[in-house]
Amino acid sequence: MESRVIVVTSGKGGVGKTTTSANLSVSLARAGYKVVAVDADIGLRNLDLVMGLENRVVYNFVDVIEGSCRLNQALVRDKRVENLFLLPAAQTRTKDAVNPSQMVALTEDLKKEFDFVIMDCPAGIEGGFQNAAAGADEGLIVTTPEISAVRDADRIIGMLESLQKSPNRLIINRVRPKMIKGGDMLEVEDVLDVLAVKLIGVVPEDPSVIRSTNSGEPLAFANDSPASKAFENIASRLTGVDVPFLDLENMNGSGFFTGFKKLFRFSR
Amino acid sequence: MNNNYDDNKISLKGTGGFLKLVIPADMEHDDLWRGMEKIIEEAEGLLSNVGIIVDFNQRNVTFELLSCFINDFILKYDLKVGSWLSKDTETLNLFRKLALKSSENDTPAMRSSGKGKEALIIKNSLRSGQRIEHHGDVIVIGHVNDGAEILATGNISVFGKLKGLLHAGYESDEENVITCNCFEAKQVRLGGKLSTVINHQSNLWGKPVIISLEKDSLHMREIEC
Repeated sequence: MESRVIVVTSGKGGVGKTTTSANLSVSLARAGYKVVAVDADIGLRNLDLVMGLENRVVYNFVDVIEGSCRLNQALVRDKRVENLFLLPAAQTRTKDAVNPSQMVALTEDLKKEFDFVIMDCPAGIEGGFQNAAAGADEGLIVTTPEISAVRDADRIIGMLESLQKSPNRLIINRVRPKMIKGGDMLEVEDVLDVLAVKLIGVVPEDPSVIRSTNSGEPLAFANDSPASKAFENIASRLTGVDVPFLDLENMNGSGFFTGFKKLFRFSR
Repeated sequence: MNNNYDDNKISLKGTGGFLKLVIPADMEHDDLWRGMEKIIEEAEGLLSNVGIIVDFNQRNVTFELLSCFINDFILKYDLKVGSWLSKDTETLNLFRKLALKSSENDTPAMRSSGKGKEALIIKNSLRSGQRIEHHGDVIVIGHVNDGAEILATGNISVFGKLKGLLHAGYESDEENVITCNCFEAKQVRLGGKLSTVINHQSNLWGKPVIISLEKDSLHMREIEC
């Protein structure tokens, strides 16, 4: 298959980009694809912790770009699943240590080796985002059903469109059906009405995400929680498999998927 | 999208159904390329959606410069050029030799009824961070999302939800109006007037409204369909 470079981004911080990157990478690798998760958050790296690979990081991709090591030396193989690798960020450098053209060259090298390159993008719209998005073909926008996150996602989608990344697809994270039912949280339909991009997954709020993050064991390894199942489904949809959305209605007693028919009133 | 009226910088101005890209005649080659990259980045996709008129002013445009310009910007960013303008005879001859449309009047500008102003029609929603400035009326066939802004000297009409900031009648003494299909904005501006705080408890929230200036104050009423 042709290699795909996907940037996982959001604009706003703390919405679940790194968790999404880690779990999608694991799910894709478990499905048999050769995957590298790239931590593009120079200076604030986290993906190594979430994937439980922090003790095995020696070099990072800034070292690769600067010629201090070869790409294969910086890649960290995950021993728990075949074909899964991490390319860590530098923790002691800043975003301006690399530029977009260097990132394009790096992703071109990665594309020769991997089926999927998952770029975990830093928050914001400045240099860190520009670097992470530079080499990407397509975007995964992570948001939560909060107006601040949705507004930032709207901004970042506009920027991805201007960079001609396509397709750009949406993950709505930390959805709480009970709050939606009580009118205390934005409905999925409301989020889609504003953002007008294709929805690829809805991830329910799940305490096991925090446990897995702290233990360095991505949920996708366990495969038994609602969030884990949601990430696995998103990974399947990324590969073109038509997977129905989780029935959160029965899972949590809310009917917030009923409005899906009114999506994309103004398509782009 | 920021209009820039500085003489030494590339500016972007609304004109009919197009945006006019005005390139200063004495701008150095490198500055021109940097300025173009910057303005395309700031415009965030609007240029490709709306279409542009490229105005080189008095600059003598060589074939090499023109071909690089087309390659590096027009083709690369999939821009649609309605017309090529120049005040330089040799440049105009070059446009004619290449069969490039070189008259602003050739562009199918849309005009608003009555006032003779040119209207800018935006055929997509405006996302957060996107900004339009236009001399004339603006029609948006889509939403104006929270964080997007439109400044127009004429009227503004939004076919979708209005959540962003509109300023109609900007620097204009004429009577102008704002209309939208679903009003959810926190603030609107009309001429020199600014709306007071609007929130979702307003009885007009979520409804189609028309906002006008009456007796020197903003007046909002529901559009009866």
